[in-house]
Amino acid sequence: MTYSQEELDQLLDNFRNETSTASQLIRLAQILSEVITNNTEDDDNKAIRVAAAIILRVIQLETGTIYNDRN
Amino acid sequence: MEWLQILTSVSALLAVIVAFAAFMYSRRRDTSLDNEKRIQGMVNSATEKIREDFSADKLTSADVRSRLDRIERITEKTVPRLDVLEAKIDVFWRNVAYDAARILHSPHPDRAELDTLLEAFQENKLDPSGMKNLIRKLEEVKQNRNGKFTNGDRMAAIVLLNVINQFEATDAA
Repeated sequence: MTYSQEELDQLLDNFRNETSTASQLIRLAQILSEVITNNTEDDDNKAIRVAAAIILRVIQLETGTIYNDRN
Repeated sequence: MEWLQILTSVSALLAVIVAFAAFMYSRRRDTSLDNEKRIQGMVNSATEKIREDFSADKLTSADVRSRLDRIERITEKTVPRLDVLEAKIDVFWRNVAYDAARILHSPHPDRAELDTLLEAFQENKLDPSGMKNLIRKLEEVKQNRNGKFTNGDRMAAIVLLNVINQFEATDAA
């Protein structure tokens, strides 16, 4: 894990308040990618990964970096 | 009168297009309340002169022709942008569905049938019958009657079901 929960919370707060800078968005996207691929047996794990995936896709949509993953 | 009716209809269409485009482009930074005010402002501004002329009953057929031409020019520029936005939203939801399918996938013997269907979905290889089976299995996960699925499984299944239903409705239309 290359991030702390505190860092993620701060980045998510900024994202939610729509005050993120470009570099914060990039960092948040990196962390969310890590969250999505972090497959554990924890009961909450999949719910967190789904939420992370949706937020990451929103960031991609808003920054114009969304591409069809099936291509 | 017929020209006025056409102009009114086209103006309404233009207002909707402008409002939608404004909403899509301003959503990133604005709150929903700001968006609502902004859209109202844009629609009011775009239709103000027309509304005034209608009330004063001073439109000539040359005015109508000129405005229809203007609306046509604006529409020609706006519609392609809406097509691009529609394509991006489409890719967004398809990718969300792909993510949900990947997360729901769980190589466990009890879930082999679901996993096979999810793999086919991710590879875009599901025929209509396979899609029906996938929807049935996702409903089972969502209902979780036997209690063997986690909340995360159910969340992924619900997201996937919603996206599939959305695209099936779009395809049917």
